[in-house]
Amino acid sequence: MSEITSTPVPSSEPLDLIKLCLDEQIFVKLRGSREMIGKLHAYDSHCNMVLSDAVETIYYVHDSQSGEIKSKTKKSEMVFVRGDSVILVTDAANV
Amino acid sequence: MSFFGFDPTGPSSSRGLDDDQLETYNYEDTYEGLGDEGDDALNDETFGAASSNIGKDFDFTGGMGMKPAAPSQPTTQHISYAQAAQTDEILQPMASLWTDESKAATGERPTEPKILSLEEIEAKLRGNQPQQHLQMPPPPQQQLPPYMLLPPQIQQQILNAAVASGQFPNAAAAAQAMSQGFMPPPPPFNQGMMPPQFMPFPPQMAQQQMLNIPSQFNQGIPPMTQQQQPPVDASQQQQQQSQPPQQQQQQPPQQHQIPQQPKPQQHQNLKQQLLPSQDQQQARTEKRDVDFPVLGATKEEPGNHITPQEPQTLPQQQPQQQHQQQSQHQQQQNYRNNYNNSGNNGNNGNNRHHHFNQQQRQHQHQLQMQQQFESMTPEEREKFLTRQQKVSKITRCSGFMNPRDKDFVTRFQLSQIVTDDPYNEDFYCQVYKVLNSSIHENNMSSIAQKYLDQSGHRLGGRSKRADVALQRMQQQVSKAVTVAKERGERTGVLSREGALGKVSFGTGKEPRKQLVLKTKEESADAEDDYLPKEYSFSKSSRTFQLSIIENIYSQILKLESMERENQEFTTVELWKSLHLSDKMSTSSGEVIGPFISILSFDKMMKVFNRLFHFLTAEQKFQLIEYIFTNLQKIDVILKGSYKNYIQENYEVPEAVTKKIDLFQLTIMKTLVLYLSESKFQDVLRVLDVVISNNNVLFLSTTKLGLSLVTILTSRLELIKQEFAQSLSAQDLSQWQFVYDKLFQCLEGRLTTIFPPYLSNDESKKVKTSTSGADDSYIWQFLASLSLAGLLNHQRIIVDEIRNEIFGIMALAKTSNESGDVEKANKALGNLNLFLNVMGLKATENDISELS
Amino acid sequence: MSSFQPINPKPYLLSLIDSKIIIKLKFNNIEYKGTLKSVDNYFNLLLKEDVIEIDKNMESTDGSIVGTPLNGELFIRCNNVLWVSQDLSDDDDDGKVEEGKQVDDDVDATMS
Repeated sequence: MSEITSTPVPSSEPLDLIKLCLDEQIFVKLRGSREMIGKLHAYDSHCNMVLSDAVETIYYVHDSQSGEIKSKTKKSEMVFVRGDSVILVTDAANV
Repeated sequence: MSFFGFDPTGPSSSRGLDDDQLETYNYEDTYEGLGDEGDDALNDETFGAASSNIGKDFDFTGGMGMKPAAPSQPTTQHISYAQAAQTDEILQPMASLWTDESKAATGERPTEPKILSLEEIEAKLRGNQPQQHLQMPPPPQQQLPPYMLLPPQIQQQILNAAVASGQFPNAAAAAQAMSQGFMPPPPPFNQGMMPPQFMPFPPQMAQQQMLNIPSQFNQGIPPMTQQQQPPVDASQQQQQQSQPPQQQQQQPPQQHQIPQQPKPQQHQNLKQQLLPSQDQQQARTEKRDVDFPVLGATKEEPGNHITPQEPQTLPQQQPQQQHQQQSQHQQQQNYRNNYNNSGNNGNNGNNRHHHFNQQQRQHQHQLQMQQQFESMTPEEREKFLTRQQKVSKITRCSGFMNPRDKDFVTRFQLSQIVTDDPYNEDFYCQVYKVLNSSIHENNMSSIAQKYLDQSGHRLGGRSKRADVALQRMQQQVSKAVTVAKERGERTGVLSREGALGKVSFGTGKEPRKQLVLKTKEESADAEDDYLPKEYSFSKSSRTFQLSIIENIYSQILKLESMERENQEFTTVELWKSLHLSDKMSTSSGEVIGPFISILSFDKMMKVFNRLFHFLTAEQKFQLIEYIFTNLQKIDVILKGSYKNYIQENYEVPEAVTKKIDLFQLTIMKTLVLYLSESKFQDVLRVLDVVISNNNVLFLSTTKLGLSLVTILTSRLELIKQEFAQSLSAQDLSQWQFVYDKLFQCLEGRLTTIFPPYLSNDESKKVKTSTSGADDSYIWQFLASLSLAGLLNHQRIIVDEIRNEIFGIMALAKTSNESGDVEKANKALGNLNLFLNVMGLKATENDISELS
Repeated sequence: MSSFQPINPKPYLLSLIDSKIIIKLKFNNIEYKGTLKSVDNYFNLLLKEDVIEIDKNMESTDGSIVGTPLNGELFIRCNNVLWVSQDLSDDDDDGKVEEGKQVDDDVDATMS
């Protein structure tokens, strides 16, 4: 816990969170049951992002009858994520 | 003496009073409790003779003589050497002159041998100045009764007179007596050798003064003779006894008589009367000498007396002189009485005359000195002056203590230092003895020899105990110079751990302890697995940290844009954004500076140089100091210690390794650049800060920590060697001090700086994926450590890491055999980096001296 | 409720800042409960670190709410939000608006 209760630089707007995570590992939830973790290199107001060393995790229903869900991962050294597919973003350390 | 002190003011003002005083004056009054006066008077007489004799050379009319000062100046052309010496010594204020003279007057009669030797010396000196030469070697002033100060001719006259008077069978005997101070001022006067006009002081003046003195005392003016004078009554009585009773009786009435010039014949009578009394006086002084602790007796030994002047300075002579003066004074009074008997006018004049003589003896001495000085050739003068200086220097403090005093002090000291092992403990006592016993040979070897004799030595020393003591003493001395610093501040006891256990050396300051208790801190240090706590932060802290960084970034971007546009900018905002004064607590409750915590973020590392660039010099140093203070709290460094990963076979995780590399490339690079341009004092301070605020032992298990310490020490040593002249002694000693602190932290645990995966110590090494990685930073550290250290430091270092050294050599050998020459060379190269510092060179087979 | 007072969306969202809210996404029947930290003109939302992810699909069996704390601030992109409302289920909260609570209850009821 920080003893300093009031954050000196309050995120005045939601996108500031993304800003803080620049050059840090970031977790992005994407449409289509995908998650991506990578180091954030750049972003814009549309949440278009550039990630490096990204690991994309895709969830899918392995067996439609049992509803069993499996996942597979996909790594990319550098990836551009289009903002319109982004559902949510958080610091990767939190996940 | 005090009497004399009076005189300067006395003569002129008191004249009128004299007569009155004279009337009331009687023998008893004068002597009552005022022995000094009497002595002084006697002194006057003796000196008066001298001065009057001197006066021969000059014509002094009575009229002229009325002014005390005037007559004295012209008077003295010839001075006895002794006289000159007396005054020489002082040369300064009147007061000192007086005292000295009086000292000189009395001298130490008791020891004849001294006298002789001094005579010899004087004779030699005389040789240099022929005009003063006399048939009789002038007696040394020390003992020299006042008349001894007379010019030689006069002395001879005195001798003649003495012989003539039948006191001595022949001139030789008289001379002997005179030289020994036994002879009273003989009656040159009797023979009319001293015409009145020669007398330096107008008789009236003298008389007045003489008369004045008693009156002054009567009037309650404090006698100036207070200084340790013993009551003179006894001596006075003696003198009185010696004198014909009638004289005493006659004294008082005649003193009011109008001063007139003295008549020689009267003098004669007086002198004759004086003879016996002086003998008594002398006897008395001798007695006194015995009673008195013989102050400075040793000093008075011939060897010490380089020149005749020296004796005068001896303070211990004063009392005696005073006695003499007292007795002289008495005699003078007797004298006066005598005069009164024979002829009032003459008598008075004579008294006055004597008194004045006394008063102005010093003047005369001074003048004589001057004149003598003037008569010298330049070389002589120079010689004279230098000698004078030397003498005064040598004798300034001599004689403050007599042998008994010294003995007392010595015993006192000894009693204080009586310990179980005095030889070991008290260096000064030893040296004192040595020096004391060998005044003449004080070269080092003789001192050493004496010391060995004294303290014992295995080659024939007194005892085995002493033998050990000597060794320990030697140890102490050398340690004092070199290893004192190794002594921990904490323990204060020099201790050494060896194969056979722990040895601790006591010192005077810090006696050896029977029990050496480890402090908590120490034991914590000693524990191998000691680790600073890791700092973990809550999520919110992380956000906070990130926001700090973001803020810093934005500040930097702002500044950079301003800089690009050449605008004025201040770093206040940026400095604030660093939050250096803030604290944040970790989830485990630890408190840590936000800035330190964010240093572990990659982006913070990356921006560090840009940040640093904008800071002012002051801020830079402050920041550096801050960082080094908290070195072990920096996450990268903290996690960089192999000790964190004992479970993982000491393997540092790759993520951490990456961070470490990044840190090296960014922050460390900036720090190194900065430090390489820093002043010695700054670097030293930083190092000190590192050592005092961090667990050096832990830091040394991390690559970054060790590297940073290496940078600091090598930088310091570099400056020291290249710009030594620009460093103050204080800087250097400070550096030495800090180094010792550093060394002390590591001593005994130096092997821990080798992570097992980099170690080549067979007993310790661990094979991991990172084995074979670059270990040069370790050898660099060792090199800088031994470079800055002394020989014994180096010895300790080598001793401790011996296995690593041999391990490297073995590694080189096997590598060579397996054809991996490059690896072998690299290993040896690192090792030699360290060994070369000590002038050694290792090959795969052996270690040799660097050619 | 009593007297109708028009509230525009933006002022409403801004008024929710620092209070507990529930955000429902358009898909997967997922809700996020947490404290609203900030809103921008796109209606992007930022939740404080107390945010909990609730998968409504998983809780259907016994009606208990299963939440996954995220332990960190959460950015929710505007286009995914179905609705935003105040969360009045938490008693320990300041309970800003009574009305809101009722509404929420209603919503919850309808949802379940």
